[in-house]
Amino acid sequence: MNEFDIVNKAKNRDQNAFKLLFKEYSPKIYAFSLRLSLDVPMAEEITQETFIKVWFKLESFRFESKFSTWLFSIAYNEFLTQLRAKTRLNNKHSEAEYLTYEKFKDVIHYDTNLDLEYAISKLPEKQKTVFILYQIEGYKHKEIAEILEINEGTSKAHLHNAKNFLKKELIK
Amino acid sequence: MTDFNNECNNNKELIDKLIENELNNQDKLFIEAHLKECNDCKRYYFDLLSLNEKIAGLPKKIIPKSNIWKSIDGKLEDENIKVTQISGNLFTVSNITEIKNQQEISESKPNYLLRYAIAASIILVLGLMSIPFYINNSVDVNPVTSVLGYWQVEKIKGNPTLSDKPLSSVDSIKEGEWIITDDSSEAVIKIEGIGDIYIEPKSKIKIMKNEQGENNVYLEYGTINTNLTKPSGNNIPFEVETVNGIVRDTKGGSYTFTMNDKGEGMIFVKDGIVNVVSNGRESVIPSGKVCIVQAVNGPGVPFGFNTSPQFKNAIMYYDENSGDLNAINNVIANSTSQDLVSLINLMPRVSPEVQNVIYSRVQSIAPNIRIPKDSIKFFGLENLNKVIEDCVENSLKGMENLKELENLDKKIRVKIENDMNGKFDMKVFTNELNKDIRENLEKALEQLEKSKEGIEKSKSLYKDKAKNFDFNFDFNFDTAKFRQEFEKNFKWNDEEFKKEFEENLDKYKDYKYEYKFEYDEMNKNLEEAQKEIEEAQKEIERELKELEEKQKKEELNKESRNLKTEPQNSEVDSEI
Ligand SMILES: [Zn+2]
Repeated sequence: MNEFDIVNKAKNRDQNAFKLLFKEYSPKIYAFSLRLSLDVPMAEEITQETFIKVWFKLESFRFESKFSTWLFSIAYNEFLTQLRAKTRLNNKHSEAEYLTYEKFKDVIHYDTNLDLEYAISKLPEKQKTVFILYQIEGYKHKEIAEILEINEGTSKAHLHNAKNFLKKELIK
Repeated sequence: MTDFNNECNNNKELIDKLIENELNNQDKLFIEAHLKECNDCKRYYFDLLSLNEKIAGLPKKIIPKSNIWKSIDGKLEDENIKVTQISGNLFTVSNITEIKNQQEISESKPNYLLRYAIAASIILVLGLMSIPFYINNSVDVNPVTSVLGYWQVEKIKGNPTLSDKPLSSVDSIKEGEWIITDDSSEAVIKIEGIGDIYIEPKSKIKIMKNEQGENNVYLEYGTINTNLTKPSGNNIPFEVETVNGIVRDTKGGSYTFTMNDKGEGMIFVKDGIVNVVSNGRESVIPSGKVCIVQAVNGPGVPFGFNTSPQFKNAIMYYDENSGDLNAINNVIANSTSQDLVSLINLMPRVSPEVQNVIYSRVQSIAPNIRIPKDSIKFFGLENLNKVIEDCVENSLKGMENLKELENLDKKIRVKIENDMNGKFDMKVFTNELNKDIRENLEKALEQLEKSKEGIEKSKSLYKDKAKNFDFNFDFNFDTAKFRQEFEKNFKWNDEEFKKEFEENLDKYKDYKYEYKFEYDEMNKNLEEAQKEIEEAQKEIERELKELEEKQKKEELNKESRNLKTEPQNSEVDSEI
């Protein structure tokens, strides 16, 4: 069974098919959410809410984009929603603050290149999002433009700036 | 020196593209040659390469620490579903909560509205579900053809036991054996020619022989869900015995029944008509109705799960205070035409005087229900079944043209939690009723009109903006005047101006291109949105028209029904 069939089955309220999609994509969505939020409970919440939304919105998904592109755009919007809620709650400025390296190590609970991962965590939000989608998830600028609702040119510029920043950070 | 830097900034862009594999051959050859000569660019190239290598080692997938599926699984109920919850202790007046999943119609995205309109048309059909129904099969009076010694039993979930041994996935059960399910197991008994009986978690059933020598189900405690085939060839009722009476299904159908070991329980009938008999009392419960069974008093008066809270409370109060005249008056005063089944079930329980009062109430809210007047004095259990069948059949008329009817019952789901101590929590999952549909459609229409206005506005706004922006513009502005202004603050340098001018010209070309692209794109989007809105509007208008036609048809049916029943009434009168 290919992905098209599975998505179609899930569209027809087949929970088993939906579970297959969850199995395939939830670790990606979680990785994306964790890198963006730098907060384990929030990343879990984003992943959970994303899949609940996907289940209820599947009906309206018409294969105009790739399923995964659609999925990431829902996850990204969920991240923004939760970030807004969080900043409202904490009465903080909405720009995410840097974590100290010590705190950062507590958040990252997986095997990785910590120095690079920490440098990524310091990127401004939009640059970080574009960087993750392009470099880690392998999306094209056109697809990223779709997910983030920005121009392709903007996506390219963000990526360029992000990489320059990372190079400098890693040389430090 | 500055020239050199500038050039290499451009080269760095080429290097970016080289790494992303986006260069044509000519540029590729050029930059590769340059890399051999320029140390600055070489370092840039290798830094980028090593960064890319590090990036490639980052994990794409990270497994969350906690089990996220577990928290999602329970939340995947259907969007259009309305949950009616009846909970609380049976011996106090129950709390009745209604959870309604409302449709979001305030969303401004036109495709949602279109979806909404389509969803509404589905709801329209399902909304009729609140009317109890039963499709009458012709009843053959053939005797039971065979008595089966064994019934098939299957494990559905967890570890149910069969007479204290683990139940295998397919097994058989016979007289004297029992099935127990714990918190997380489920099983089903499949009886040929009769149907399926699902045994929910925390239940115990036993197979016994009845007086006729046939296998019978005895529910010691817990919850069962039945799905019985409509009888063909026999009309022997299928009975479930309990610690407190019998649940009898004569016509086939489906119900959820729960009881604790003290004999307290409740039933919801999804399809068909079910009788609950205990302690000399009998209730006749058609589809869509709930009945509460008390240990001492037996079955209470059935009521619609979606009746008014006032009526529900009145019934529950009556069940506890059955001798209280106020309780009866309260029931009668709060009843409407959807509560007929409750009123008729009350009849055998009250004195002839009160029967007369109820009778006139029934006549006034449902003149087409036939209750022979002379039988009122003796209205007893024997009349109950007949009248309720009539009642159900009557409410069916006018819906005959709906083919979906037969499938409606399958769309109701019932979940009853039984804490085994007299506390029950029942949730009935149905689709939204159609009473709000017109209102919602009209609201949606209004919303669409607003969105349309909004789009017109943005379109003209963009047109205005575009007017000020000449897509074919050239740099032919008045340099002399510009220079004059400039020299108020700075020193003029022809050389520098020329350079800057040329640089900027390129930039402006880019802007021009981007702006044109954006403008076209925006216009395209706006036009698409407009089209979608118009489609949604058409859809909704059609929906409203259909709704109107349906109501007209119902009205017509009602009239013709009244005409038909009038002569019957006079016949009854002349019999007296
Ligand atoms: Zn160079």
